[in-house]
Amino acid sequence: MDDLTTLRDAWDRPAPPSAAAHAAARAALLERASARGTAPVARRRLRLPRMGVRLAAVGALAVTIAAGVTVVQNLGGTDKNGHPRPVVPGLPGGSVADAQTVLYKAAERAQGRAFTPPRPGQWSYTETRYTSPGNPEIGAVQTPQSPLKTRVDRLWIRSDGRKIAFYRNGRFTISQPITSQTGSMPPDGYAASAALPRDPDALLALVAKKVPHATEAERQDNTFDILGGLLNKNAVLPPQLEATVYRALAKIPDVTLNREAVDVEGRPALAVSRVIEGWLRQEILLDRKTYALLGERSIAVKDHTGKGDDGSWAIKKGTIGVLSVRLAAGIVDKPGQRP
Amino acid sequence: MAAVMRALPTEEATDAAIIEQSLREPETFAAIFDRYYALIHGYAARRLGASLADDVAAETFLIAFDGRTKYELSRPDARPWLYGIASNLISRHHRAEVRQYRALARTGVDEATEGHADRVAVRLDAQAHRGRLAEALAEIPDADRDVLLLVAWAELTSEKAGEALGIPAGTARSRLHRARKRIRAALGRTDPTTTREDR
Repeated sequence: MDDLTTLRDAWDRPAPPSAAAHAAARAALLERASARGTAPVARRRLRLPRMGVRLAAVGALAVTIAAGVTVVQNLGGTDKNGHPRPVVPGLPGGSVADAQTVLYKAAERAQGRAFTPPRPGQWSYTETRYTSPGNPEIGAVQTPQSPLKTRVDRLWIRSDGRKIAFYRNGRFTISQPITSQTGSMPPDGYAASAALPRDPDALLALVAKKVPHATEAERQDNTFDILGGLLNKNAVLPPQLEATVYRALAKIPDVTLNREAVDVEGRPALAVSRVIEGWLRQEILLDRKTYALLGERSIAVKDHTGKGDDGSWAIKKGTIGVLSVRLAAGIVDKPGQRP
Repeated sequence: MAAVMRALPTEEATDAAIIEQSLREPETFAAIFDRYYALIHGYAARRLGASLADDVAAETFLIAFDGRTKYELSRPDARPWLYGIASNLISRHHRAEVRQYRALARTGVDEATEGHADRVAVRLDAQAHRGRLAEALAEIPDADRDVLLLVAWAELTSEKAGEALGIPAGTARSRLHRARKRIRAALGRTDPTTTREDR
């Protein structure tokens, strides 16, 4: 065997570029060609509002899910008694040491939990309620008074990550087999997730490598975001890996704790958070007693102006980015089943 | 002739013809993008991983567009030119590239370019080779590696690789020779046989 052929065959054929990257690259070229744009090349990167970042980072599967979920237009600015739903109050930032203590505790609890790994062919099921003002339109101003939309995602992911199922417009849909993913992060499916490293430093290094970042702060932001997504996306993780995720979170700088948080259901929660991009506090909500994941929440801690390729939008301090509540999670034999 | 050239590029039009047309009608250059974006992206993805490849591939075509007035129209195939631009951009990330090879040498698992699912079918022997090859790639000097990978992965001849990198053919040949010696040594050192199952 010729050495060049061996070298060629030893690497897998690269996965095709993502549709988003392709479209962005082509649009940038056409803009250049039409001589309208004169911005320097390096600044031509597509900027997504924060809510979109994780979707952009996690790849095609997540995009499919985002496009396919049942969207319930439930203008949720008020509670069931008609009172305005209180915006999440500004939370006092706790100390970093406190956050680490809680995360280590969460890791310990995770390791002690009874666990049966899903068999091949089984499905992970998560049911999550998202409440959000949505991705801002160009020119929009979002405030704490902006109407919120609620949607419930019911999502099944087969263990091998190759098939997903969800409800779309009230109809149950199973995806075509998903072929290549461009190394999405968090990975799709239990098998790929379970293959992640059990060492916190190795996990952090892997996430940093997978997720584009221009600055150290952005690297930490994305890492926090992705680790939260890893917990949120998987009905179950191997206990040792779940513990590793908490220990990795504890190593991210400027992660703080609020012991007095409540989730959107009013359940008491421990909130472990990091202020992302200098303006958005991203929180991972854990049960105060069991340290189980309750959900996630993000809120603007100062006024923010976002810029896209074709315009800008404003988000006022106190505006909720997204509230997510895990309603159910477990392993089932078939898509469509509930645990 | 002018009328023909003004028509939209067809499947058969040479790259040079499209680039020439794009001098008058810039949007025509999109046809070059459509032909080779996936190819350039794939090459960058193997060397740098998917996320950096997005940037490198996009920027390659912007730089190519800006530089199209200098394109040597006697060269019908634009691939060496595009690979050359991409190679220059990749070299800016050479530390990330080397880091990736080192990680691959340790684990034998290509974390950067592929999802796990795709690797289920990867043959064990290829993985065994890959760790050793990655180790060698990390150690080969950047200039030599550029030529080697343009030949092995982009499937250019050494002459075209030289053209891509703007170096004389003789220089490209000797760099390739040096790099291949390292690769062969890496394969020979611990590999008792080259027998492999066919796909």
